[in-house]
Amino acid sequence: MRAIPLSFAAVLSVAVGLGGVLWSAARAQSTQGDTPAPATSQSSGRLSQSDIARMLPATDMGAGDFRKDNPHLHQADEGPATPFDAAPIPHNPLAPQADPVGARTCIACHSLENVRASHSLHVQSFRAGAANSGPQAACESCHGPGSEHAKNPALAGSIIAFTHGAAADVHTQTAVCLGCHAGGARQHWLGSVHEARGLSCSDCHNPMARLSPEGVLAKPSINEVCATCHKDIMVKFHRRSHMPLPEGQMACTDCHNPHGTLTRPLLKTDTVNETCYTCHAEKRGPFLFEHAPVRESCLNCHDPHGSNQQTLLVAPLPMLCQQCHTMTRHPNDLQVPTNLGRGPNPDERLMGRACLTCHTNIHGSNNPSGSRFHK
Amino acid sequence: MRTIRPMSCAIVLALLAGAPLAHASDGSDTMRVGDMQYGNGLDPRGWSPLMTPDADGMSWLHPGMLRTPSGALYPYPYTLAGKPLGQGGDWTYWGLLQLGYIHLGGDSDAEFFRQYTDWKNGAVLGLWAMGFDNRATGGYVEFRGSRISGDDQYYRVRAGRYGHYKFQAFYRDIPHTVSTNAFPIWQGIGGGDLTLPAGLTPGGSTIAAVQQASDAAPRRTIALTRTRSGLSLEGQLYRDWIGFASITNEERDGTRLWGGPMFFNFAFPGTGSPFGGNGGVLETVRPIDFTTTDVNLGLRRVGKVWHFNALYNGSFFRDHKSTLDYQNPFLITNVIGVPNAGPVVDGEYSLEPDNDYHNLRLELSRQLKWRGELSLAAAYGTMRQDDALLPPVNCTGTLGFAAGPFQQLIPCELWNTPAALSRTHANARIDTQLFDAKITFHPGRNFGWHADLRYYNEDNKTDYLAYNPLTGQYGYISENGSQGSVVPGEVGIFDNGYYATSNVQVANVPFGYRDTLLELGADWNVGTSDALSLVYTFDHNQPRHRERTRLDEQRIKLSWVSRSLGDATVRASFEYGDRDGGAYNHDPYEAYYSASLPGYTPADGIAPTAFTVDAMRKYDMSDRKETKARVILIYPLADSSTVSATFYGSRDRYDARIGRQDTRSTGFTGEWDWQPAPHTNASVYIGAETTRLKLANVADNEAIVGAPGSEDPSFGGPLYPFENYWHDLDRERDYNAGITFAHDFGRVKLDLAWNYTQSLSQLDYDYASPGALTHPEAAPLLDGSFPDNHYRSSTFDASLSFPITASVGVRLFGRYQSGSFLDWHYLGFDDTLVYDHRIYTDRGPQMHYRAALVGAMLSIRL
Amino acid sequence: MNRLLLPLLPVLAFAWLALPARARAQADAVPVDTPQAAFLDLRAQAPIRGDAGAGEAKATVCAACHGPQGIAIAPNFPNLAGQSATYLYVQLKAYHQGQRSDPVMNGQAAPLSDADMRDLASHYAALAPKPAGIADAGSRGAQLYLAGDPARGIPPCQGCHGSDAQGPRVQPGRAAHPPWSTFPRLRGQSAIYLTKRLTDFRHGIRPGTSNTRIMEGVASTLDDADVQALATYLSSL
Repeated sequence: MRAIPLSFAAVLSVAVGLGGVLWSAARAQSTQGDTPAPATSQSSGRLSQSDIARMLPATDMGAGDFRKDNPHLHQADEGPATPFDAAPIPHNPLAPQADPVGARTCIACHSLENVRASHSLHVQSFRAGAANSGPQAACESCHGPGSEHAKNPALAGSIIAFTHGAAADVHTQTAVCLGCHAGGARQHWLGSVHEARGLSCSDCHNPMARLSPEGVLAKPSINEVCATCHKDIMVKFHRRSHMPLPEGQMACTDCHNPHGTLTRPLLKTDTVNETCYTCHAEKRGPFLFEHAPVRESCLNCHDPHGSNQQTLLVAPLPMLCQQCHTMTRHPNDLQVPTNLGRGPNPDERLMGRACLTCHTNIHGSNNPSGSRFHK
Repeated sequence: MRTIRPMSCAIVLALLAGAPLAHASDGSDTMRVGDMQYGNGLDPRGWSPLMTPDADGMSWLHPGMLRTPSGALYPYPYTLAGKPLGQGGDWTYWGLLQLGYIHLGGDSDAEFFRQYTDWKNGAVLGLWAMGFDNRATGGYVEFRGSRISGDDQYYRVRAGRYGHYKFQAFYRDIPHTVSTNAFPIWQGIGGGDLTLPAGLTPGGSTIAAVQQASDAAPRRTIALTRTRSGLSLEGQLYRDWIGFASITNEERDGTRLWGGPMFFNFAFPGTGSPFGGNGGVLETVRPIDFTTTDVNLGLRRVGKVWHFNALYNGSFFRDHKSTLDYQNPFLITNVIGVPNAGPVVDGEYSLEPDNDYHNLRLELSRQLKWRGELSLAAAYGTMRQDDALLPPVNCTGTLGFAAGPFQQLIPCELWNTPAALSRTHANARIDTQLFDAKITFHPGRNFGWHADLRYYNEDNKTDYLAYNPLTGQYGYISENGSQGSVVPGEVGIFDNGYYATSNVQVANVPFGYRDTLLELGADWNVGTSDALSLVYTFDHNQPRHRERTRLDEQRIKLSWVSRSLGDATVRASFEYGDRDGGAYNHDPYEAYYSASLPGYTPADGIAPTAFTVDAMRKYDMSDRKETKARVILIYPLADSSTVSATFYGSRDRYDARIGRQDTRSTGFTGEWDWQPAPHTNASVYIGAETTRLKLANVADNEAIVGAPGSEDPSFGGPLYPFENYWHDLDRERDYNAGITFAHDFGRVKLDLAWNYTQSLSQLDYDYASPGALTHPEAAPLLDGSFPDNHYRSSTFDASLSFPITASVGVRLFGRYQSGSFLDWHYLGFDDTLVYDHRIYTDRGPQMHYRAALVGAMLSIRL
Repeated sequence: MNRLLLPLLPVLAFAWLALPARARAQADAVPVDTPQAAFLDLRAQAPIRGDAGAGEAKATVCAACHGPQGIAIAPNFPNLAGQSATYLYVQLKAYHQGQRSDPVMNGQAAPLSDADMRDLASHYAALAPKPAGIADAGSRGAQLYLAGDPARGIPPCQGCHGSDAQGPRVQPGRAAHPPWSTFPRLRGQSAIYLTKRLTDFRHGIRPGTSNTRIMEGVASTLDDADVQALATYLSSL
């Protein structure tokens, strides 16, 4: 009784606070909107090279030491990170002398890429939302300054490529993306298993075309992206009991954040169980009587990726339970086929749902008579 | 209690009020659990009808498609050109509407055919997708929806303005069929009160009557539907502060198979009485009627040097049916042969209590020199529930028996009211704390190291004493009073009188643990194409109230990423872990049992019967050596195809004479993808895996329970003799294969897919002597193996799409799914669901099925 | 009933597969030089081989315009001497199939077999190019050719046509790459011819080739003065 109104009052107050901040931000924004737009929105046909250079400030991504060696680069400061619509031109260590040439120059040759990328959220946002950088920044904000490449496109590394065999190393590639997409869901990218295994953002994402409904992915769906490397996990979802991944109701990223998290299996929550409780909230309890392995980890008994037993269990009942339960009297007998429904000695400890027929509240009981999960 | 709806509406309104005003950059979806995929059985991607590759490809400058850095091909881009919306505006739009009809044939109610898809004959909305973009302002609205049935549909809208805000809303129904082969005898299925049908006498039916009721029970489907809806908003709040708020609500409605214990039947088989043996084992059906509301709030400030992230998740679960009452058809008698004071009629379950959950996490990281980063995170979580507790029983009258020294009557009125409880509400609470600190440096291009310290604590604050102030007794009423109606001394309660020798649980065990993990890692690049890394982990776990107070695991993991083998990318890892810990106490629960209470008197002066055998090592607490290896290979084969493969294996050896001893898993998957041109693609995959699990246990010598020697927990002692030792070995083999082929012939596009899974499970057992068996006389009938279980499923999909006009097309499609299944748990259930005092509800999944689906879809480009 | 319907699916499939096959057969019967011809996709074009000696024998008629040594007799014709063989081959093919239109060349290319086109291309590629002239490295044309004009979205021509206008610098590699050999050498072509070609690209060529699509994008960034400057610079090289 007591906890609910309190918690909701707290939530509501946070929401109201948020609304208030939104409102004041909007006020600030609308006053800003009255001032004339900066000159960057003038016709791009009359831009000079220095205009572009100004529109596309040559800063690096993050806090790399190479800033010190290059007087053209801003030094790292405590200022805000780059909003995506002010994405700077990343430094390309393989073409240090290159200058930006502007997106119109790029699409003069890359006209079909331009068409494809125009359907991708990423480039659309660059175009439309480029309040600070101007639409000319769309290509070189990721690929680095293009003058060397334009003069000699056959020279590997003259721009930052994000594909197989790219001369730019994976760190250079990911640093470009993280220049804008830092923090948030990618707060723990550094040191995550995918970072450590040398994955680039473009292993999973392709911002150059719209291949997926959401997420600018490299395949038409999240699960297909993950299956590029994790096919062994994906096929487990075809087993007898599984979560509805093949049926299109779930994605790997419902539970896992591939960008890195605080847990080794890249779960989004503090622990395995908290992830499971998100959908199986009834099992969160806490219950009056807890079952130790259940509270410890759902994975003690379930394989969330699929199993040949009922309800994702890792072993057949009652053997699953008999791995721990030798308690004196009924739990410890060897169950054999003569105890099955067709046998001479049918035994409820083996048939149907076995132990769970009686110890049904196995995830915990809130009944005063439920210490053995019968109630 | 039920104030969620208005509250959540208020929150949503508060968010909506701010919606047009906020500012945003990239999304937070991968920070929140759930709802990232919108699809269904017709189209798992929720996107396939839009996947029409453009014949021109990706670039005029090169043939084919480029590959990901690891070497997988990007698909050819799709035709997604927008059309202007109105005249002279900046808005463009695209859209697709697919409407059609599907027809089912064969065993279309087979459980495995409709496990997560609510196939029905009738009209379906294949996909309705719309997108609107404003190239000037960056405004966009996107919608996707699909409907197979009222229980299987989704609708999702995303809208926003690039650089300003993002708004998402969805509504979806997700079906889950648990069984289509259930025959519950009770009335009131789906509710919280199951009553026996006319013709059955609660607590006194003959087996024949129960059999008749079971035979007459109509076939039912046990299933549930998850109805989810949600709203979220993300935007830049002020300068570089970005916030998001989301609220989701789920109504989960339906039924699941459940239980009903009225004491053992196996120990008391029928001996010719029309009322059968004793006890009662009931497979019932429980209601599912849940509401869960989740609130997620986030705030982050992403600076060039500092990254700050705050996340709040509140989850509020409400169970609208918190009890399950059921009637018992069987006659329960006592073993001493006197009439019982009353029939055992009523059983009851507490279903899951309402609960509230809050979790607040703060994360802060700072970039350092040498491409370094210091990252700190702290989280506090709490889960609480304070449901009113049910009384220990819901019986009326008096249960039990009275004869000579056995004065074992259970007066229900002393136990069936909340006054019989030490506390009326659960007041259960678990608090969690997480702290993580990580530091990473890459002083050069070729070398890096990191250190990570993680601390997690889970503190269960629930404190419940099973004490009845009305009677002054401790403990509980076991199995709805049935155990006490059968066996002298075994009601489940303890007092200083008649039950002074009863050793029963009298308090909850507040399990919890504290885990401290230290990780040290180094990685270096060997040349430009190879990278090695080595990670050492020390995991110090301190479980509370468990068999061990300390578990230490050391792990070492060596990884190698290579791009030096031609065009291939190889990722290989090898891991070795060794877990040990403090002394293993096979019975850490004494303090929660009545044997620890004053007044406990061992029967006949013999110490309480051993709780369990001392050689048991529970697998989460035992010493363990673990080895894991994995190789993932992606190999570009010529210009337009890719071969990928995974080899993996793990070996776990548990140091346990009793308990889990050994698990192994070895597997392989291989795949070939081919996309020679935009209008053609094909793929083939195969996979195989074997796993095994070995466990050992020892049957106790029940003949000496209560006699001298029964207090001895030692393996090889009188209670747990070596000759009762036994093993189970579970071996599973899984095979998977699939083929897809798609080709656009110009006038028609053909899509073919075949998917195949076969799993075989073999359970073998051996035992030192027939003493390990409940029925030693059955030993000559045994051959060491259970019947082999198997699960086989083959699904063939074909579809033909052809345009009629530039914007209208037709798609004809069909699916043929067949499968076979055997699970010995259900052997005999097709013949009868009644076995003496056992009544089952679920006959189990169909052993053979063939289901077909054909459909036609009209596809209109909007 | 559905078990009956299912076998019908493959039957339907084959029925529909059969239809486009007939449709294709009809398409092949249509004269090749109609504007309906599909564009010529050169993206996977490998460098060609031909018999230069045999080509010389077949080149008699070509010499009437392109000169006996591949140096054109008049500035409205391109010089073929020293040109990329693959470029020459795909141009002949485009004339032959109708993707490139010219009142004279369509007729000349119509009777040529694939081998003829390879041989002719190889023959002209083997001839000595026109001797170098004296170019003004400081001219507007040189600047456009070598550096482009980023402010106006003009890419440098040298990226594909080489810094000395003698064709692209091909780097061996297994990654996806442009069909370098199909890109022409521009050095020493007449200003009149270059102006005509660039102007054609600015107006669009249909159906053209995949390379046409590239040049259309590039040429759209040029104005008349740019074209003139480039033509002047290249013709003086």
